[in-house]
Amino acid sequence: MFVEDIKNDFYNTLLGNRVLLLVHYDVDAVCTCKILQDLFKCDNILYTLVPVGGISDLKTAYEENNEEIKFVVLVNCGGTIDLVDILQPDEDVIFFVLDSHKPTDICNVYSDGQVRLVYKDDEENIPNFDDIFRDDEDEEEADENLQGADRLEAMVERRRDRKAWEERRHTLMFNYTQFSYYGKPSSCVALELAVRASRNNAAALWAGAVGCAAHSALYLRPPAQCLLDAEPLNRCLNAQSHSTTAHVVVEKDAWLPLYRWWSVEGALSHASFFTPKLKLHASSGASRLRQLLADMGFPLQQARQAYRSMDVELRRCLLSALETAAPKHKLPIPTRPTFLLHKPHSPPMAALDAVYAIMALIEHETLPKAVGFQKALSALQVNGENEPLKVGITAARRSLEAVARLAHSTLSSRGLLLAGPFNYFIVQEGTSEAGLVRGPLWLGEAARWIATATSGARPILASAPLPDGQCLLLGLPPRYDQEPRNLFGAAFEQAAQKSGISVVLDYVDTSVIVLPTSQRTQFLDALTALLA
Amino acid sequence: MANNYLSISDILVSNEKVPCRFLHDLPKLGFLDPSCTEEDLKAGTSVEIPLWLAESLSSRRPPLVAVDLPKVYKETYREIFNADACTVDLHKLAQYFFELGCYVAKYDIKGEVATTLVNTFRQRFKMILSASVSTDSINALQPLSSSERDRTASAMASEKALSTWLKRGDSLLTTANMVANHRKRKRAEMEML
Amino acid sequence: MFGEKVIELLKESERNRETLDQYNDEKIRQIIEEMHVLFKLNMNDANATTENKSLWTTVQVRHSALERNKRCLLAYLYNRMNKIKILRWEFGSVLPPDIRELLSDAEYDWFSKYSTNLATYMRSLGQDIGYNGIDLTENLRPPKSLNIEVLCLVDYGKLELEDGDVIMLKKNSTHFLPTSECQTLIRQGILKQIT
Repeated sequence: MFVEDIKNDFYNTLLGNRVLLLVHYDVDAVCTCKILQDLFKCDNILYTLVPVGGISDLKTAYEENNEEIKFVVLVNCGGTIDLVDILQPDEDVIFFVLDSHKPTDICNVYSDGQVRLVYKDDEENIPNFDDIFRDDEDEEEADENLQGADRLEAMVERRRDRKAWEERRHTLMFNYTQFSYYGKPSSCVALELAVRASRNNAAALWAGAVGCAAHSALYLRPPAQCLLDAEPLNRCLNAQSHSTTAHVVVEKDAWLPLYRWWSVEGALSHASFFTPKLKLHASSGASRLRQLLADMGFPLQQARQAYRSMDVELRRCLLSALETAAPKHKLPIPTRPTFLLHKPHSPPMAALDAVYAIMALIEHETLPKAVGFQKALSALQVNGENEPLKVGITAARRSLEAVARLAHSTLSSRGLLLAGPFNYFIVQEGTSEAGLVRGPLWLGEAARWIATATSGARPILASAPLPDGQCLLLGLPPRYDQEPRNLFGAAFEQAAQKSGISVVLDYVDTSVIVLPTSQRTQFLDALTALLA
Repeated sequence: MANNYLSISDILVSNEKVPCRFLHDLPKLGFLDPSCTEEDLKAGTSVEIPLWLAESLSSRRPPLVAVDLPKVYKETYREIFNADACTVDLHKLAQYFFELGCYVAKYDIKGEVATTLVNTFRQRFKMILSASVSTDSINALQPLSSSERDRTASAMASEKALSTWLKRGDSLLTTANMVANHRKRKRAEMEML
Repeated sequence: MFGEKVIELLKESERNRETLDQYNDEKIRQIIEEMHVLFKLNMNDANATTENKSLWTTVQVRHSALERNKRCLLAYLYNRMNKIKILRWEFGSVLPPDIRELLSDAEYDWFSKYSTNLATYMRSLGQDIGYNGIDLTENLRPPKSLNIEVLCLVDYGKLELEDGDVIMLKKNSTHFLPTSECQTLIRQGILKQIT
């Protein structure tokens, strides 16, 4: 069931109760969590927060913490699975689901109040209730009073009817579930809630902005949708009084990751939507990059030094130089309106940089996931020194460099393999990249890089080693930058069924799975056969 | 010093050796002088004995020993201290420079040791105070004597407390000191294993 | 030389100023033995002074050593006592087993008595104004807000709140709880306050 009024039916219900907050490990979820936490703090709503990585995590987290808990809020997890069936909750427990993973499980949609979906996406074509649920018992009873042939006829009639209905239901459900995709960022929904509660301070706006930027930086939504998603955010920004304290603004900015913390050359050669087109992996790549810098009017010495200490004049004309030089090389224009956080006495911070920093903290090389999650939460604070953010940015640079190295070596050594309807590549175990590119976030970044470098017309599978002889497999749809609906979720499931390989379908994003490394080739064969 | 009876640091100070000359024969105590081979200690031998023993023996009537100044309080070193006390490595030279000085100053009839002590303390205290404002300069300091180290640590702690107080007006609740230290030590022991 | 063992003992305790060491039973026994020997030697020589006057000086030296040892032992015990006092305030009335075994039996007796005394005193506080006692180990810093956000650092298990709710404290989970409920756990290093 959907919540009608986000403030009265969702937030006000929580007031005065203890809440269990289960949050998925992704950037949007961290931002949402930050907004909700601040709201809860203001209203003294006691909560327990547990980050969850997948469905099994969700189950254990719920089982461990469900004592005396009547309200559970799930952020970016749980929407796509039948919660009541999987968690087996007591009847008086209520779940509020704020999940941008789609499609939403039909049982959650038509739950009679135990599962409440906080936000209704109009893009979702949810099948009608009558088309998928049907109560057979009533009909049996209705027929009792008929006699003989009439009854037989009625039964045949009913069976035919039922068969037709079942077929129809099957098609409907197939159409509904065949693609996995993302809806509006949860952080935008949470921000709307904050606005309704009149608590849209700079911290909430910043978290919302980072959540929005995450969806567009990771290509989870079509570009046009991203703009629409940010619309409420823009409205809040306009209403924001221009204070001297920290505030968020929209400005045209270079869409290059971390360039304020790097050098111009460094940022230009590590942007996954831009750099692959320079073909840096080829021998002529380096000269192309130099040519681009020359066209921009940036001396190499300046482009290589830290952006902070670059010539002020060059810093000022960076955007216009990029805009004029990029089309000459048939490159996409790497500037677009972005959210920036302005703080007194410190350089502005781009939402894009925060996205990468949070990604790097969640999937850090050495930090345990849960610690990284805490650091990611505190990296979102807007006031005062932000030590975790600096840690995140350093880690993000390392990860981006690893992604670039991985992509270059894959492309130049023909590591991208052809298999019928798709291409795939494998991160080799023991390489220095394997330590950094091991989670779905960074592996996805690498896959997008390679897809862009190879024009992106074919779907791409990427695989990275995990401990204990397992490996991660991730699917990226063709033309991911325009239409990010992902068919691999359903395909993986079917291929697993047909091949009988013990695949772990634990990730909330169904296009990511875990399987034994030894059976990877076999699984890819099954997948080829299925999709051919 | 009666009020220091239970203080461990005072006990350690009084364990420092001072040169003494025995004024009487000491039967059976030859072992006090490591170079002595006889069983008895003869009057007139000079031995380095711990301050506590020297103090208690010299205060008897008649005194059993005559206490001499340790070499760091002698004329040559006093000149160094009076020139520039900040350059001296007190950690190596005299761990308990000031405290021991307070005890032995009374054996210097001219009272020059006392003046040197005050001078040295003044110079070095100024140095510590200005260095404790920032952590970088602390490490650049000449090695300090043991009480100076304590003083530096508390100066830094109060400096830090002041700055957190100025910044936020309140501070986070933290783990109690001894609890944290015991846990740290346990972890270190685990790692050793 | 006299009094060397006892200095080792004190140096050990001075090195770990912030923590409590194992009560050094063995060394203390040795020191007391040394004192017995000194005392016996002194008794003999003191009786012999009538023949040999110069023995007086020796007796005096030994006597100083005896007094020195006594002073050091007392200082050792006194310093430990101060630390044990802190244990009560920081760890609470129930010591974790690994800390408990650092104390000698007599020290543990003292700890229990101190703990009881403190509890009695705290119960007696404020009775004239209608409170039944004030926990002095709480609110060592003025509380700034009703609830605070805490991160759980160890797998602690269940915590029952005053209102009867039960909370599962698991490593790396975050909770937003009443300040009064967390203070003790924060001081014990089980929770950590985050902003």
